[in-house]
Amino acid sequence: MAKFIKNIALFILYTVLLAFIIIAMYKYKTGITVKDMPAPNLTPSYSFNEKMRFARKKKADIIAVGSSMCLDNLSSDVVIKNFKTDSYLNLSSWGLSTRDIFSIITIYSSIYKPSTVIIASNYRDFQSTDKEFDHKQLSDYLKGSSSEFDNFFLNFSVNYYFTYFVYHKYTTSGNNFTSGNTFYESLIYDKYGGISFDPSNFKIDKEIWNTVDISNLREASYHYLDSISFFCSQNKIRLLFFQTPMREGIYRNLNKAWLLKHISRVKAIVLKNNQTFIDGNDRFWPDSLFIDPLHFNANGAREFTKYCFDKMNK
Amino acid sequence: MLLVFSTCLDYYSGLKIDGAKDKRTKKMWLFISVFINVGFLGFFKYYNFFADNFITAINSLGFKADIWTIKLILPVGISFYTFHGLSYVFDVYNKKTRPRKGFIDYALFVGFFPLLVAGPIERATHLLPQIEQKRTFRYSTAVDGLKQMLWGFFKKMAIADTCAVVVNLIFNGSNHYSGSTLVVGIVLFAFQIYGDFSGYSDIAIGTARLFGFELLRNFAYPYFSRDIAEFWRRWHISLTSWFKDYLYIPLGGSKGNALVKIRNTFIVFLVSGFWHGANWTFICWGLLNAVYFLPLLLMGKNRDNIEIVAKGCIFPAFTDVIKIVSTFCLTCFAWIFFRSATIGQAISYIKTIFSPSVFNKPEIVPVRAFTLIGILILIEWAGREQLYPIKITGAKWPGILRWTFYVGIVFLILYFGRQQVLFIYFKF
Repeated sequence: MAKFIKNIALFILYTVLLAFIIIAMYKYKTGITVKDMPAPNLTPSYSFNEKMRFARKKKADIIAVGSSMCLDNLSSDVVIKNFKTDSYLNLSSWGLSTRDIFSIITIYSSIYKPSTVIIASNYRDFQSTDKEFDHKQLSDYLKGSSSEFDNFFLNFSVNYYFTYFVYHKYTTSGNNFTSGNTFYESLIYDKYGGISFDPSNFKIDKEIWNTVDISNLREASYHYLDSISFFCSQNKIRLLFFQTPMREGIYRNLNKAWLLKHISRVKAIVLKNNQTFIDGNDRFWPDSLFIDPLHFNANGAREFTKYCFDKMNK
Repeated sequence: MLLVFSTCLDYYSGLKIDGAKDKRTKKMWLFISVFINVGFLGFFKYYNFFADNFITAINSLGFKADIWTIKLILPVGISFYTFHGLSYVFDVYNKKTRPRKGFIDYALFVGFFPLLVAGPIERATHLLPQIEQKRTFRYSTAVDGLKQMLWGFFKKMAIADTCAVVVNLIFNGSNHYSGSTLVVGIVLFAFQIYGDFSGYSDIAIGTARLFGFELLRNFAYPYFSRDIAEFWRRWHISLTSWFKDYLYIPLGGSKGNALVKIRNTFIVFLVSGFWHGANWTFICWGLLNAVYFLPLLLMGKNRDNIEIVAKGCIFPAFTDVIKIVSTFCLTCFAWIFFRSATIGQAISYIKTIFSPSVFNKPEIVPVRAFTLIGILILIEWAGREQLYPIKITGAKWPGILRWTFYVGIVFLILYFGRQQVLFIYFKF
């Protein structure tokens, strides 16, 4: 028995030593530091975790919440200019569904009480699957009540950290991996949490450029939008819902019946709760403003955001 | 409560069967035990299935049936501990084992924790004597147990859970994918269920070995089988042998004329399918396997492939490869029914596979899952003559190299063990 226990202890020691050597070699090769560690493993999404790290302990009066439609299509500069305040935070992240958006709004509102919520969205957000995460854990993290040490071991997984360094590190850092905001996966935020894609250098993917996924919209998504709208009304939060458009090259040839039905349904839900709905589809948006059918580049985001505010302020 | 009741019942029945003075009383106690055990299993597992089907049948005849259906939660492991208890009662009745006076020993046999929820299905004649014996710690056995557990964790967390993500995606959206993608889905499911269930068995057997118990072997590289008969000698061995000993042989086995053989084979495979779950899909799965098995039985070829494939050789013969691949394809085809939620989904799945879209490029190509499956096949092929493939791997290597190999497996387990996926056989 003593030999067995001794060998088990030695094996554990050997495993830790081997892991330490590999990490040291990786550090020597890439020059990573503690700052390069990924955000805590709060949810299955690296993008969302990064955004939560960005938003931690940050109070803002105006927040934008949504998927990449809100992350990339809303120009922070234009929002700031319109509201004449610096108290703005874009909490959006790739692939958030309407249920995720509802969760974030309720969690953030319970901590910081924003006065205005902006959602830039389109039909894609009504197809997305929901992310599973622990609301209390996320709330504690945003408040900053957990220590960095606790956060590191939060839902600790070797896979999470290993995959990050192998596949995802380039999304958050210019170091060794990327040449700036020229990739879809970029998570290099501006001061407020938005992302502006470089219009001159962006590496457009030809397949994505021509792809429009019109698979089923989830019925539950509309219910969650209703919940968002109702929640904002009940809590005296002003909700601005901006319907984002498609690039002209696709929109002109599209059978629009299903899209128009979707938009009218969304509009009805938002207006029912006395909130603001702005449709970006009532004009054409040149292809030069896009990086794919739905995401604007920096120029497009500026023009779209300005268009929405101008229309709203009329 | 159910486990305690079932344990007490079988313990008491064993004593009563042994103490009975005439055959009639023996039979009566056997009947009581079987009736109550199977009754519990039937009620908790199959009540709603029968009730729903009865309602459907009555309604289809134009009558209106209003039957009481209840939302029952299936007690974990009921299919397994019921079979443990029944094996004891049958063996006492057939005088293969003596009834146990010590209740604690018997209760440990039924509720032995590594195998309680998903087997292997133990026999009283095999495990009870080990429980009664005094055990001493043996270094080599404990290390062997740990290695088997390690391999089990690898199969479950690296192979099965990685495949599960893609399989769920494909089966949940099977109407939207091309035939080629559905082929990918079913091949991955074949490895998911193998990794999941044989992984659990390895963990259970390894854990038991740490405590000095030897459990029955449950899997013996079933995907290297050259025909369906061999597959069923290598897949879920403890269940197959249970049905053989307590159902197939009492029915007459393969003795008698062709009609008797056909009847017995169908009964065993149908019951086996039904044991897996209260759904027509499992019954079809069992039926299909019976159809695969019967020609071999009737032609007397069901015991052609007894030996380990390509024993002592590095590579298999070309004919063996053809046989292995054909058997695997047949198995995969049957798995479609096992995995589908309804017969309708299974039929629609099969239709898509046999449509021209099977020649399209698959929409989903899970490189990671196929790489892991490749690693699994290579290691299992290399170690197919052992009880589990890494039993003697590295035995002659320098210690540091051997430990590095184990660390590599630990790393793969940690790396792929991100999300918890429940063992499939926990629900049976």
